[in-house]
Amino acid sequence: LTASNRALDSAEVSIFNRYLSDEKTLLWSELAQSHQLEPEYATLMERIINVSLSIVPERGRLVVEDADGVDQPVAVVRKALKDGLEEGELKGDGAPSAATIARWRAEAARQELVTPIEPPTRKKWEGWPRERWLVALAAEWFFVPHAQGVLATCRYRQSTPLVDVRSALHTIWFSFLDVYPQLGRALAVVLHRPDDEPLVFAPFEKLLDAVLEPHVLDTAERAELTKALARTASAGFLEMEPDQQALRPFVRPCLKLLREAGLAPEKVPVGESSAEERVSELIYQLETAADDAERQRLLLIIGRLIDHPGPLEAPS
Amino acid sequence: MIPSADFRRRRGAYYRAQILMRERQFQEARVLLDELEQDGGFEHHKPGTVEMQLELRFQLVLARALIATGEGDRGREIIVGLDDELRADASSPLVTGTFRRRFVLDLGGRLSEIGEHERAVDISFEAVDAAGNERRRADALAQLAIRRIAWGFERECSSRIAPEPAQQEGPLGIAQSLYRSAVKNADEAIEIRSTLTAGDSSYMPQLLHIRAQRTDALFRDACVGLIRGEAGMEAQLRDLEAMAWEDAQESREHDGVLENERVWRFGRVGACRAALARLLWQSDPEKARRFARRAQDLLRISYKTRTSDGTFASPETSLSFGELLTLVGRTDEARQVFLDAAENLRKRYGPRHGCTRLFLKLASECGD
Repeated sequence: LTASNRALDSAEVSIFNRYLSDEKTLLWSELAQSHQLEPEYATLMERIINVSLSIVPERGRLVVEDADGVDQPVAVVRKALKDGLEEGELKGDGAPSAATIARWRAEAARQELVTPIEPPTRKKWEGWPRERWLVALAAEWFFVPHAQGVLATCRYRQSTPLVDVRSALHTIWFSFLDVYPQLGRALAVVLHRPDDEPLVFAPFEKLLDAVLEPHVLDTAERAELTKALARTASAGFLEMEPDQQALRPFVRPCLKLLREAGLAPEKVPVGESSAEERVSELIYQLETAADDAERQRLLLIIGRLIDHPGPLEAPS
Repeated sequence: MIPSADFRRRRGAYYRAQILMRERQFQEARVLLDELEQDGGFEHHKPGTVEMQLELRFQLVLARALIATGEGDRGREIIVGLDDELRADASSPLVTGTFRRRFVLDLGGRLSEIGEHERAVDISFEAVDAAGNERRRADALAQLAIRRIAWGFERECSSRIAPEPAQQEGPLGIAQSLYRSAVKNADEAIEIRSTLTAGDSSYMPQLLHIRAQRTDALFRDACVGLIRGEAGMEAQLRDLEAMAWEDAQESREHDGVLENERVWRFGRVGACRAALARLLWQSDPEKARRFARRAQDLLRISYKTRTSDGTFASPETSLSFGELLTLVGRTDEARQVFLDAAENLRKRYGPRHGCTRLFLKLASECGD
């Protein structure tokens, strides 16, 4: 890193790292919710997302198409945050309290803020190329309101673990696929480590943890599952073809994790039902059954698998 | 322009409603969608934007939830309204490009589900014309074939309410013509998909799907032949049974095919056998009973296996199964199958639709 980059990083990395406060609220969204900051930040983040879209994931790395364009929003972020913190713009209605702002400042000074991605070592993360931070920042800013929307409805009318977790996963995938699939792919590249497990994107982890909280009471167990799901959910973007919007790379591995955790029953609807898969196999056996006794046995099993209240009647 | 934070929060809620629909929790989804609609849905946003596109999709999902929770009239009204809006504004920036292409495919499916078959076929033509590449053209052609089969089935059912087999221009003639056009569309789609599959085997499930639809269209065409008493039907139905068996076998061996679809494809083998049983019931009772026995297992399983939207069996399967039960003298069971099918269809199609009326007629005839 050049000296100027290092100076910039020391200030901005800590700011970019504030994805979550220890009050379990999402920092950037709090900023965006502030009446005074909403329009300003919307414009700002739009610029960042537009720039991040010029950062193309290519064979596992990010290629910056417009290097000058990357610097500009970083400077704007720096100025906006500096101005916001110093000139009291965060004191609008619904903005974080003065005490919270003071705490952020103190945490930033001590570099103790929660990071968006668990860093292997802080030193390594401070050396991250700037475009990676931009992608992470843009992805977080773009995604968090979606997470808030789905989480509010999960809490308002809680459902089964499968429905709640699928809602969260669906939101993770489609919030990107519907609007900025390229941003999702760029984020996956940021999180990807060729010789190690992918990094965990904190907003995904936070959402999944909150959704799983009522269903998995054991904190350690929940944390493990949450991390695995968050990793798998974002890794799917890596396998997606540029013009493809299919969910194949995403759904099956995540459902497998849920089944292993006992949160998804064996029989699940549409395309994921091992019971129905078995039925088609059993039908084939039925067609080639050697005798009537074997046929009756197979019909009985099929009857149970297709959720029929009683065994299937044998044909007359 | 990136949608506002508020808009994105609402979209998060909408994504949950989509999952609730997929998980068949229609009432829950309806509550959520109603709340979103009462808050103004997404309609206050500008035309030609992501927001407007979401509003259109939201309306479609809401319509499906309404139909599933007993407000079929309102749901159908929304779907037809969307179609009207789209027709009135074919070139406007309201919906264009990739979104419009996907949306018309989706809307075509919904129109077909509520029994607006002519509109569904019409809009599917737009999807074919608008397809920008071969893969999309194959998708659109496959959809067009499926819509034509559904429309043909409705005409076939209507013809059986007030039979007029001699008239080519009557419902039965229209049905036959629709089935034959569907075969042509399917053939073209198969040709494109075969080329695509040669380069990328991940397209195989789509290829198998359209092959099975082609077999369906041929089978329905044969059913029209049966109604008309045409010659050579036994050999034709035996060929179709073999084709349906091959479809089922191939789909069984391929991971990418939806599991409940595999079951239905075995059900189509059963439908061919049931047709053979009906054909031979008088002339060769022993052979007919053998076919009936072998058809019954497959049709029963296919009939009882849930579809993705929580309903049981397609109208075609219900018809084959109910008629087979009638044939073998299980009239009470047959009546129940027809009544259930009629009730299921009434929710989606309304009471005046040809298929609904046929099932009610068949139910009333059971045991006479």
